[in-house]
Amino acid sequence: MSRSRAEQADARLVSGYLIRPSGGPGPSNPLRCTLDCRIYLESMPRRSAVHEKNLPDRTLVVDNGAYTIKAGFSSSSPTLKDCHTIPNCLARERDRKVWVGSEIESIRDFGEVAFRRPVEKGYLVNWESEKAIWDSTFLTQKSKLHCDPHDTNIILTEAPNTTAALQTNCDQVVFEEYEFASYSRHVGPSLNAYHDIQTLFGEPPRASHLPAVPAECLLVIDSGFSHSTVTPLYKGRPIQQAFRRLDVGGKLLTNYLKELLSIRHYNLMNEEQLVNDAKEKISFVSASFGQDLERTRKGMSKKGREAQANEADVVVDYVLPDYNAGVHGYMRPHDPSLAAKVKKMGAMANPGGVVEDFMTLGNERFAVPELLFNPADVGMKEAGLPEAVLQSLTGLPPGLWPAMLANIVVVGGNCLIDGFMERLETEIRQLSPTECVVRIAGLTDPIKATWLGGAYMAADPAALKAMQVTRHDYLEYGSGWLSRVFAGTITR
Amino acid sequence: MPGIEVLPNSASITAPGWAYVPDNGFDPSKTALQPSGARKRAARTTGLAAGDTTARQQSATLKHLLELDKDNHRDVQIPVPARFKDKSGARVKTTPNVRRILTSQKTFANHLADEEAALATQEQPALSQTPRPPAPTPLRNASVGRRSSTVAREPSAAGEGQPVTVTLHAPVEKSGRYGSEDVGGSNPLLRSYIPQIPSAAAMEALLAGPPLSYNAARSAPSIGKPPRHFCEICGYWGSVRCLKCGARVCGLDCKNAHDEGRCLKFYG
Repeated sequence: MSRSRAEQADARLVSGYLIRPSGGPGPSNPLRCTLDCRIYLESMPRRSAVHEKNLPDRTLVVDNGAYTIKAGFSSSSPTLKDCHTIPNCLARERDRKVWVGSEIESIRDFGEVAFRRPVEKGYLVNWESEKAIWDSTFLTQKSKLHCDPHDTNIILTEAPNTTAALQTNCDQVVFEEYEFASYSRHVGPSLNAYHDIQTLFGEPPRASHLPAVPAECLLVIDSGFSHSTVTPLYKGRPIQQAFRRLDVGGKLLTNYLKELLSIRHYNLMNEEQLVNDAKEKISFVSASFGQDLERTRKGMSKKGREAQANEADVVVDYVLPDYNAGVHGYMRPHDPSLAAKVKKMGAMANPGGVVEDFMTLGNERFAVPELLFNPADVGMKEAGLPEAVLQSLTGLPPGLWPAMLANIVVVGGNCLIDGFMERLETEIRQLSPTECVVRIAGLTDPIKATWLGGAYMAADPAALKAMQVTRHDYLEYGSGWLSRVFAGTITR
Repeated sequence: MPGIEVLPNSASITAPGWAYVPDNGFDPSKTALQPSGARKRAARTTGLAAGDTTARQQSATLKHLLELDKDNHRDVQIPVPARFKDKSGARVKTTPNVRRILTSQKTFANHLADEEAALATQEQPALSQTPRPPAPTPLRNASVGRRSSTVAREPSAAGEGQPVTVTLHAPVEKSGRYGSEDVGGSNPLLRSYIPQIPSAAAMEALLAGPPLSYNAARSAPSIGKPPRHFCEICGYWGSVRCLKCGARVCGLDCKNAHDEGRCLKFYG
């Protein structure tokens, strides 16, 4: 009744099982295959055994951003609390002490702190420094995210349009250095399709007991630290031909503000952290740029001064942080009185006492985020974000335009800037065809949104299993095969 | 439409796709060599339209953009702390791949150059060079569906082309608001033209498309928006141009501040 394994193999040989089953591994040349077929059959792992092997229960979702890593373990009902934000950089203080990853939160004096970021222009380039950060985050015992990679699945994000060499590097480090049990790599914004998108547009929430199904048509605008991307998705799968990128991100905005403040107030060129904090607190996107620019004009004419006095909501004072006293920088309404000026002069004259130093900010507040909409203001030969959305649509058949325009989701830290969403909606509405309904929604926490989408995706064990590539398979078939699997050119 | 065919003769070179044409365009390299006038400023701006920038301004802009993209203002080298480096012998199993990746000093610019070189050598010019379709940005008054393609569409045929599973969430589908049936009736002028959803096969083909290269995915410059200039001192509209260096300022106050410290052109 039951034959031995050798007999089974012989029977396959005889019955013409010479060429490997389609889609499976092995040599692609059938001639060569007939020659070493016996060796192949014997050395080949029993595929049934591979498939029966279950994935570990623990799944680590890592959104490896340029500014912060958003990482956490997924569960059956993930929440934002499961996500930890770790600065993705090495920081060096004035006294040349170097801090790595989450240690940076313990720095008190950010004066002249220099940063080294492994992610360059959104792409994970330098693994030497990234490994130090990952080691301190995932392999250190006292870390909240400590795990044994052999017993953990990892879901990792990458920026759109990553070069093939960088993808291969990433695969090799994950499997050969960290040795995670299973791994999948996704275009970051595509994970947002697993959110309950229709609820954002006023539909009833989806049933909680059902697994998360990716939204059918979704246009994700991801405006992050390095760049802003537009990625149309169909059932959670990226439409690669229609990706568009605008090379304006939070870093460029910070550097631009740094430059403006250094011309107009104090030299802050080496104060990355200070200016970044200031940018997050003061900036807003103007709904009518020209009008706001008039309002903040520092003219000497009487009319100009009256306008400035009337529009106290635009001009503010930003009080610089005092690292010695542990006081953060903050914004307060502008005090145009002479007393404030005298006080500032006095504080500068005798630096012994408690000094409070501030900068009066006017058009810096909205001229900086304006670059997201008009990159040509600094001479960048690219179109703004609303136009990039429309350019992305030209890569799609017109039949998809209504669905894409009606399901736009914005993620990334820049959409926390006041007025950003309203301006974006207005401009897309103005540019898009009249027949289309334009609906734009933001998520609760746009910074962690991609992570949460990934966690929703990982919550379904069946979907997870279909997606993940095990380390066993990687060792068996190699990194070339793996990159083709993630590119979708071969199906397992 | 009558086709035009170039008949080969002994003087013409038969190469498909290109031809010799006289070069009438502006060439900055020639301008530099042969100044057309005695005045320097005139020479600098020869052949330039009002909105164009000179080569010097362009390189200054590029330099500025590179500055804005830097992580630190100064060039700093921050080494990985020793506590995160592997002690000798503590790890025995580093694979050659990992060793190569960890010791690699390549920057993103290097990787990008590698990719561009690899794409250039590939025999797929359509994929590597300009995969972007040259379609213009759809404007506000451009209809989603062209009339010529959708007028012939019958309501019954619309259901056949699309797969049953595709149910778009767009409220455009509920066309009552646009009055296709209720108001217009059969009047072709009042009908709403909603383009057909692509078939499942078309969607698969679209999804299987290869990713664009880094440079091809960059958003194209916007057409028709005039450049805006700002005062480099106070940030107001820069309506006055410095005659020496070309920087923009808003008025005399800012011009004085500019002359004191920021004017790039010094006469010694």
